[in-house]
Amino acid sequence: MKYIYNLSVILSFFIIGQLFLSCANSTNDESISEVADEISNEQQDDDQEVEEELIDEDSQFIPPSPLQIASIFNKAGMHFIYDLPNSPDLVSSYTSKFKQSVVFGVYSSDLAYCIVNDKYDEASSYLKVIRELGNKIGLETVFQSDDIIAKFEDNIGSKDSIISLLIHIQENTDDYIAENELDELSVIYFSGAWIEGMYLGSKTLLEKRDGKIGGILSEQITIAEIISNGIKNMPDKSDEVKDLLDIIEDIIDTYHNFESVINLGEDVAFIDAILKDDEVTLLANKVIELRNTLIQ
Amino acid sequence: MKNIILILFLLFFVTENNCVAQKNYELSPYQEFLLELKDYRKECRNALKPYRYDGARTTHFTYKEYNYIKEIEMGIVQNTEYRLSFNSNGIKYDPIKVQIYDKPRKYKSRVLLYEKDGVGGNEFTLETSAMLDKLKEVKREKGVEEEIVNMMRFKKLYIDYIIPAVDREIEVDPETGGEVKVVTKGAIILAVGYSNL
Repeated sequence: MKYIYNLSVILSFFIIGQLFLSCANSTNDESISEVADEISNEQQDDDQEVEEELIDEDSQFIPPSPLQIASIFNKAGMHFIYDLPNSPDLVSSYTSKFKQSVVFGVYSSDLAYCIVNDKYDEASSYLKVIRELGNKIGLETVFQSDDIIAKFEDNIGSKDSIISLLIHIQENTDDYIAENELDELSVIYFSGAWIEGMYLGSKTLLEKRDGKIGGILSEQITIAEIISNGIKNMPDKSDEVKDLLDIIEDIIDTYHNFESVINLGEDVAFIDAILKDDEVTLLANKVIELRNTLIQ
Repeated sequence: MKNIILILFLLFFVTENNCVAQKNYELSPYQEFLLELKDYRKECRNALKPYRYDGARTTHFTYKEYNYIKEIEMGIVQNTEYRLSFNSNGIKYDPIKVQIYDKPRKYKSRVLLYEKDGVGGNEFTLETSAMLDKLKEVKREKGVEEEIVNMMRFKKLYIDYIIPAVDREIEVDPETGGEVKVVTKGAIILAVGYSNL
């Protein structure tokens, strides 16, 4: 009996030892894989041909945040219209990664729109759907580290605190994207954010003619150009992404063909064009059409 | 007695494998570098105060045997002052040069708005107002009407990182015995903030 007990103890130690050994081997395999990838990348760098002394590599861009865009419209006097933002109830209808990424941006703009207009109940709904979509598109860690919803609800009514929280979310998102090389995701979701911001401004403008908002719509075309370049730099574009690029470029081309813009010549790079009423209407309608296509 | 020896042998066996396992769980130098960048991003954002944080971009690069440029296009949507915060503590080897222009590289007529050499292992900030003044000065010298100059604002900025050429060291791969060029990398962080007044 004593012999059997001793043998059991010995075998237990042996089995535990084997478990450690198998874990070490697994980690070794992962390390070898990482090194192999790195060597492969190095070899690709060496294979590149030198055509000029200075060679442009892939470009990057920094777009303005949804909060800044919402703040700009708000300062221009854009008032809150309740049924204008995309309904949070539609979140479960977005099933493809592309749609989820775009609408993540759309809801981000809607959240900012609510916050700058002191609509905190509505903002809370948008924060929840943003978190839900974030989990689906690979941004779950952004919302897991802090109890974002609880902090938001604790600070309802305090605009400065809510805005600080929104900026904190933006920082976390930017960090996560940088750490995980999710630049392509950021291009897509920012496209959604920009389109929604433009949509909210366009719809407000068509309901109530306001020269200031018309001017801001004109200013936002700069962002469309940056987004367009960001999408063009994506190496593998799906058909949905290509369609998105086509529509954004159509908006840019429409803008640059306006008489008001052509009259500015080269100065359009530094001066805001004052669009005529019919030009504003055409631009606004194109944006509304694009946005409605994206959220279907 | 035999059992004790056997247990001691197994314990030794297990302990040695455990040490090997722990060594493999240690972070690689590149993973440690990525963790450092996280702290640098935070420092970079903090340097924006009192401007409101708007966005950031970390630019990774590999030193090559020729000079080359990485360009960032930055959007400016309102006529207010912006602050750009750079953190180059992720550059451990040869320093790079930072240049900021009003147009992308394809335009020969673009204006150099800002330039800084020896960027590496340091941090610095700058505001757009000084660069706008420089642009306006150049436009005036070119004969642009004062009325037009006064209406000017930035809509985009182009930040160029000029990565210098380096002589790549050669190492012998211990596994294959072949010669391998040593790859050196770096990263610089740019954070942008705007005045919300």
